[in-house]
This record gives sequence, C-alpha cells and structure tokens, in this order.
Amino acid sequence: MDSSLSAIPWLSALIFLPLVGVLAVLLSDHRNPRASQAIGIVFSSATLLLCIALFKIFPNTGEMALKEAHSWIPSIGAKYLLGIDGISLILVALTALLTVISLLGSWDEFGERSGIFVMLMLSLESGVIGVFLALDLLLFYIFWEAMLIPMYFLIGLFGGPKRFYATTKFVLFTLFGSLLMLLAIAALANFHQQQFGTLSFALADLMKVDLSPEIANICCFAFLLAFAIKVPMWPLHTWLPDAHTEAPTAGSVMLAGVLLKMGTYGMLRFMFPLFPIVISTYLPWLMGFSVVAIVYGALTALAQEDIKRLIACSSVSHMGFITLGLFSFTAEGSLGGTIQMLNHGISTGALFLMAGMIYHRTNTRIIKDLGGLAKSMPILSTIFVFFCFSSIGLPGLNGFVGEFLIMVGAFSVSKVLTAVATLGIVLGAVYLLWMVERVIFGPLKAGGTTPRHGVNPGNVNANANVNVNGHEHGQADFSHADLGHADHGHADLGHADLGHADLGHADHGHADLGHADLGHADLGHGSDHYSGSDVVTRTADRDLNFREFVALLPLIVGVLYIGLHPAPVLDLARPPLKKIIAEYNLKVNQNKSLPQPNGEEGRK
Amino acid sequence: MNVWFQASNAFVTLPEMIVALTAITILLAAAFTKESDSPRPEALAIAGLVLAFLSTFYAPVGPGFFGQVFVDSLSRSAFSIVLLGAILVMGILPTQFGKDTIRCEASALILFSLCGVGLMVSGQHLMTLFLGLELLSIPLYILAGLRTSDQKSRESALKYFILGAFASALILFGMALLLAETGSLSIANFFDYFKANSTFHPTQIFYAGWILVSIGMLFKIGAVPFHMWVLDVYQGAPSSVTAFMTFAPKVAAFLVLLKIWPIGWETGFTNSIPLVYFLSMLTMTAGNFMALVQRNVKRMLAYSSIAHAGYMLMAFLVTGREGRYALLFYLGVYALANIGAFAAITIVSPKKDPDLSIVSLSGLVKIHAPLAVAFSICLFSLTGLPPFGGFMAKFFLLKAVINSGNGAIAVVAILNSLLAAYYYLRLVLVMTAKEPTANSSMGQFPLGLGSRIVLALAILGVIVSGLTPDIFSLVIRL
Repeated sequence: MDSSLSAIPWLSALIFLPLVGVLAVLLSDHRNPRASQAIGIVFSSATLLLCIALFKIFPNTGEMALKEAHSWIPSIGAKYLLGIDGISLILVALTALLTVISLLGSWDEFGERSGIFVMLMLSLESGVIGVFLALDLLLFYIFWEAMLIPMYFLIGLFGGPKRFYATTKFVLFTLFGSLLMLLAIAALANFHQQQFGTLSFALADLMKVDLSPEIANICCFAFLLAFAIKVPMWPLHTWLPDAHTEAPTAGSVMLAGVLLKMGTYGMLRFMFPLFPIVISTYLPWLMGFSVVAIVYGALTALAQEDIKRLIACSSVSHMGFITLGLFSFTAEGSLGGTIQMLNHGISTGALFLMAGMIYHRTNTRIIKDLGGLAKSMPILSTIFVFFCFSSIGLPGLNGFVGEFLIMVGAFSVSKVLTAVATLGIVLGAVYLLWMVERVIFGPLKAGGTTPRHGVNPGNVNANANVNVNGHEHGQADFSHADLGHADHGHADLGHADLGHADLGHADHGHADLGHADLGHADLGHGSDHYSGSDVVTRTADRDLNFREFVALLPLIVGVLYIGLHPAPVLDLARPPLKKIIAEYNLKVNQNKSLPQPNGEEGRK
Repeated sequence: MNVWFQASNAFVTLPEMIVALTAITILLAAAFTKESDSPRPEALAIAGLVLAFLSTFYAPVGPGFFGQVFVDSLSRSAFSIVLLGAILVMGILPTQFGKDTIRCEASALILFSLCGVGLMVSGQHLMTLFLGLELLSIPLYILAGLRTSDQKSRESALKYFILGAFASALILFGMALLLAETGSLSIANFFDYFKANSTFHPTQIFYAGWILVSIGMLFKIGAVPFHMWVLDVYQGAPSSVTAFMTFAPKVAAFLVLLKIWPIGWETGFTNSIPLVYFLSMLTMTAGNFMALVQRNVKRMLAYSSIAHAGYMLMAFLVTGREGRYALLFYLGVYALANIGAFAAITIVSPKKDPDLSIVSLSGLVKIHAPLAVAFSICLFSLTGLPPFGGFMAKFFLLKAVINSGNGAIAVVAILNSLLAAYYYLRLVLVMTAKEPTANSSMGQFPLGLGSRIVLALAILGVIVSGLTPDIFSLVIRL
C-alpha cells in the first residue's frame, strides 16, 4: 500500500462523514423533506463510496490495516484505536449500503419529519460503523451504546402503535447486557494495570492479561450476555419481534441488517480472543442454544400472522445459523457464519424493505388480509419471491453459500445438532413459501387491491399537505376519493401534485379520483401539468416505482453475485478468521498442555 | 492587620472571600438602588464568581486561620466545581423571578450559601465545619421559601428548616461527644490522638459521636433513610434554587465525610464499611424504585438525586486518589446535567402552577424543539448513556469500585441504572414522541437569554465531559 494513502485517516472519515451529514441536515432547512432526504442520501452514498475505495487500497492480510491510534483519555489509558480487517470491511460496507437503501426506500414516508429521520439514520450509521472499527474496548463500548439513542428514537418517533413499549423494551434489554459488559471491561482494564502497571483498554493489550478461571468465567459471561442479547440468541430474543414489528421500515432494515450483526461481530472480535479458554468450554452449550434458536425461531415464524413479525422470527432462526457456524469454530463454520452475516443483512433487509412497500400500498401487513399481489403488482411480487428464495437458501443465491459452509463446519463438530439444524432449513422453506403462497398468489383479496380504512399515516400526511397548500378544491377532491375508495391514501397524491397542478382541473381530478385505477392513467397522461417524475410516481403507484427499484437493485445484484461467485467475499473474510482461530487454538492448546489451570499468579 | 493576615495565612480562602464580598456588595447595591432601576444582581454575582473561580488557580494552599481550615487540592477542586455550578444557576435566576427585586436576595443568599460550602470543604476544625454547615443551610431554608405566594414553597421551607435544625442538633451533639472523648475538636488532632496512644481503644462514646456527625452529613446528602426532606423541598422550592440544592450541599457533605470517615476506619471501627456498602445500595435502590412511580417531574428528579447520592456513596469504598477523583468527577457532571434539567424545568414551568407533571411535558418538542432536545440530553447524561458525561462519571466510579474488589455492589449499581434508564427515557419519549395535550399549559415560554446560555453551556459541558473527560482535570486538580 502506498504510504501516502495510509496517511489519510480513512476510518475516521467513515465514522465522521455521516455525522457531517447530520450537521448539514441540521443547518439546512430541515423542514423541507426533499432537501433533508437528498442530503442524507448524498452523505450516506459518499460513505458507501469511501467503503468501495477501501476495498481497493485495503491489504487483506488478516492483520488489522489502516490503523489509527491517538491518545484519547490519558488518565485511564483509553486510546482512540481504529483498525479494519476483512470481517470489519464486509460489515461496514453492509452498513453503508443498507443506510443508503433504507433512506432511498423511505423517501417520502415521513413528510415534515424527514429531517429528524435522516439525522437519526445518519447518526445510527456513524455509531454502527464505529462499533465495527473500534479496537479499544472503551471506544467500542461508547459506539455500542451511543447507537442505542438514534435507534431508540427511530422506533419511538416513527414506529407503529405499540412503539413506546417496543422501543423501551429494546433499549432496556440491550442496556442490561451491555452494562454488565461494561463492568467486565473495567475489570479487565484493572487486571491489566495490576499485571503490567498501566491502564489500557486496547484489545491487543487486554488479550495478554492473565485471568484466574473464576474471573475469566464471570467476565466472559458478561460479554456473552451482551452479545447474545444483541444477536439475539434464544432465550434472550423476546425484544426482537416487538422492536421489528413496531419499527418503521428503515428501522427494521437497519435493525435486522446491521444491528444484530454487532452481536456476532462482537463475539468474533472480542469474546473469542479475550476468553478463549472459557469460551472453549461453553461452545457445545452455545451450539445447542443456536440450534434451539433455529428451530424455535422457525416454528414461531410459522405461526405469525403479520409479515414483519414473521420475518423477525425468521431472523431469530437465521441468526441461529450464524451463531451455530461461529460456535462450531471451525474454518468452514466461522467462514460460513461471517458470510451469512452479510447474506442475512442483504436478504432480510430486503424482505423488510419490501414488507414496508407492501404495507405502504395495501395498508396492511396481516397475511390473511393479503393475497394475489402477483396480479396487482407483478414486479414487486417477483422480487419479493426472489428474496424469499435467497432467505431460504436456494442454491445459486447467496443464502446457500453461507448455510452450506455452516453445515459443513457444524457437521464436523456435532452430527446430531447439525441434523436438527437442517430441520430449520426445511421449516424455513415452509414458512416463507407458505407466506408467499398466501400473500403473493391466490385470489386477489381486499387487502391486495383496496386498502382498508384505519390508521393510515399516508392519509394523514396527504391531508396535511393539502391543508398546507390551502387548496380547498384539492382537499375536497381528495377527501371524496378517500371516502369513496380509500384507495388514494398514499402520500403521492397529497404532494405537490394536488398543490400546483390540479386546481385548474378540479373537475377532471375529481372525476378521475373517483375512478380508482383508471384515474391514475388519466391523470398521468391527461394533464400536462404533471412533471415527469410525478408521472413515474403516479403510474407506478401500484407496482414498484423507479426509486424503489433502484433501492432494491443493489441487493438483487448482491444476492446473485454472492450466490454465483462467492470467492471474492470468502477471500475477504478468510485471512482474519484464520488469524482469530489460530490465536484461539494456540491459547486453548497451551491451556490443555498445562497440568493446572494457569492464571493463579494473576489472581489478587 | 497585615501581620495577622500573614500569620493566619488567610489568603488560602481567597475564593471564599471574593464570594462573600460579592454577596455583601449585592446586598448593599440592592439597598441603595431604587426598585424601578431593575438591578442586575446576577451579572454582579457572575462576575464575582468568575473572579473567585480564577482565583482558585492562584490562591495558596495549606493551613489557614491557625489550623481552622486546611486547603488542599481536594477541597480546592470541590469548591471550584461548586463555583462553576453556581455561575450557571445565576443565569437561571432571571427566568425564575423576572424583574422581581427578590432576585437580589436570592443571588446574595446563594453566594452566602457558597461560602458555607467553602468552609465545609476546607474546614479542619469541627466548629468551623459546623459554622460552614449553618452558613450553607440557613440561606437554603430561606431560598426554599422565596416564592412566598405559593403554599408549597412555604411548606418546603418550613420542612427543610425543621428537619435541617434537627440534623444540626444531631451533629452538634455528636461533636460534643467527640470533644468529651478526645478533648479536641480538630480533625487533625483526632488522628494524632489515636496515633499517639497506640494502646488507646476508642470508646463507645467516640463512636456515638462519630456516627451522629455522619448521620447529619448523610441527611444533607439525602441518603436513605435520611431522605424524607428531599422530595417536598425539591418540589416546593423555586426550580432554580432546587438546581443549586441538588449539588452544593452534596459536595460539601461528601467532602466532610471524606474527612471524618477515615477517622473511624483508622481507629479500627471498620465495621462501618459494610454499613456504607449497605447504605449505598439502599439509597440507590430505594431512590430509583420510588422515582419509577412519580408523576411529577420535580419529584422524579428528587428521587433520582437520591439514587445518584447512592451511587456516589460507593466512592467511599475506594481508597486513594482514584475514589476521590471519581467522586468529584461524578459530582461535577451530575451538577451540570441537573442544572440543565432544572433550567429547562424553570423555563417550562408555568408561573401560576409550578407543579410540573410529566404529562404536561407531552410533545414539548413540537412546541420548542431545541429546549426539548437540550432537556433530553441532560436526561441521557443522568441515565449514563454515552457519549454524554454521565456515562464517563459512572464508568470512572464503577471502575474504581471494581478495582477495590467490590464487584457485587457494582452489579447492583448497574441494575439500578437500568431502572433509572426506564424513567428517564420515558420522560424523553413523552417530550419527543407524544402529541402536545390540550391541557398542557405551555404556551410561550419566557425563554430568557440567561437560561438559554445556561442550557447551552450545560449541554456543552455534558458532551465535552463525555467525549474528552480529561479536560475536567482543569477543574479537578487532584
């Protein structure tokens, strides 16, 4: 690598670029939704581009690259230490990608509150990227907890009817585990001071600390608890379905796509290297819990009536696969687990995004109210089925690669558990395909064509916009349509369209609006007042519009790319995993060769 | 005169002197100006306080007034924290009292109270400590009742006065017992006394005196079970005064405890260490549980301040610099966040009905977004979430406690902060995610310039102390 390239603080740039975006939104007119959304997309795309640039300059040796080390809190020896390896890079890229996509996916969802939404998303991105890059445990912890605040607001401000309950549960669950981890971090630093004379929170330093078995056990348990809640592993998963169901689409995408991976990443980066000996004794149990999660998650997914809740439960099952792979701790298993983190982020992120799109159109997520979407929105349905296949693990798509590797790894450790886990794959096919059958195929149901009345954020927004514009004609038309067919409850209608174009054609609009589907075509073509982009929005009101398609396209490409040609991604993750496993095996074998447990001298 | 000054080394108390002079100047100025002239006592007070704060960097340290006081880096740092806090409190006063001339009295009383803090943190003689305690408390009794038209305020003043007098009586009695036993009232003498008589075993009388003095101080801190006054006083007192009450007496009483508890421990009364352990756990747990069910914002913060006192008591389990630094840092950050929170409360409290229920804050973000955000940041800091100062304070404290081998109480403290997270975050949600209610009596706030600056400074302090906590070593010069 060129030395001039390494002089640039790439990693800090990754963390702080989104924060600059927050500042930009704050300073711009944040009541203007388009401006804020645009700024958000610009800054998150810039972060993504930076990630892509990193792929080019990043030496994949398995060692931490592009390190940045600065003094931070000298009085307690905490340092600002950043570094990146293949695993981090994969997850950082996933974070950057999903942020852009979820911002794009919720372009006009929040109206006036867009500014706040974008700021929260960008600060969330910054925090999560920080988690994946920090090599100092205190710094890591600060990112780990600081990102709770934006997520708390994302659910609390933009979520569904039970959002207060869900967001509080989410934060309290996470805090519970992570606060205990904080104590363990403090304890580790104290032991470092006792043994080496200086306080340090750097991962590399703390790995050298010699712990007595009891202390190591307690500390390891605290770390495990924090990470297991985040993953979430069974039986600590109960916050997840609530949080997902109540979160807005973008929140769900980030939560499933990235936030859960913080748990598995933490295990790989911190738990295994810090407590290899203790964790080696936990492994069989943890594999067992993972298998329970796989089957249990799949069974609960079978019983769900809400699409989002179903995907959330399937997440528990899929995260079970990831942890199964990691805890097998073989070369294949951990590699599969790591790749599966990326895969799950892509496919589940996409599924949540599409669940949001379905909800946006039909105003329901209840499976039995939906049906026949393939008839009314063929493109959306096709892509939805595609991502379901990816999630099931169809060969040729991304999920297969990861699950296969995990199975190979787990099989070499325990045949029984692997056999049971296979059940999870079968069940996964069952619940997803069953859901596809009921939602996409079958007869066109009420939910699929005409939204039901009820709480519809779209309606409220649209009305509000019309009110702001002050066009009484427009408002009258709109409410007429709303009452008659409840069909045009989408924000699209309420936006500039009615505001600037319809007045002159009040009658026209009225008639058209009255005529459900036909009206769209008429409005779109018949009135030259509409701008080009409006035409796109309106005619594509039923099926995917261009913006949504653009949002989904990278994910489709990702699914196919990893499915057909996984080698580059695998090569990225392999060296760092090899290093982690080698260090782990070295320590565990050393421990086995000793007659007594070492670390006695480390006890005080 | 000059000779006396040199002999007594009086300039060790230079910051306190400046504060006292400022207070007297304000009172005189108030007496000689017309009411219509709308005096600006806060400006004068802030000028004096800034001067006093700057003087803390230059004033000598060491014994003064013939051993009555001993100024060391610890007491200097503690007093600096209180000075900074008082500067912020002064900024809130105009919002609270408007153009009322009572502001002159309020500012002067706060300054006098500060002198009491100064005496308590540096006093080495029990009589000086008692003098400081009274000088601290009596202005606070008056301040609590300043809103004379309000029954709650009068009630709180009376309650505070009676219970405070009771505590003072206990302390005085305890001091008498100590004097009877050791023949001295000087803290330094106690140590010498016991060191000189290695065969001497402290008697029950000594311990009784020691415990009584401790109880008096625990009363000032608001530790359970001596916390009964906290709620009504915090609720009834004018919010700006409450902001001052939440930290100034705490700093003073904690510093006194730092001086007198080691006496008991060094003389072999180590049974009391488990007692501290127990007190700390009880205080934080009881405070948090009771805060959970409060409907009134000020009462909730009052209970939470009890819980914070419980956390801070943990610092006494740690010996040496680490514990003291953690305690002072916690006090400083806690004061910042609390001043911010009470500044926000002062702003939103309607004049007629100062009882601010949690529900009435619904949708504050829609009425005044920056205010709601600032208030939320203070609450996040009190919760102990990074990247705010409260997190670092809690972390330093817990790290010190774990280092001293008390892991169990650290776990209790952690579980407690989970409880605290629930009620703090609930308030944040009420402010940000709920719609404004029809009966929320908030319309236009008297968002004075002073309060704005105070809030901004408090937020800035909270964030800076969370990101680079070492910057606080400018104030905490241990």
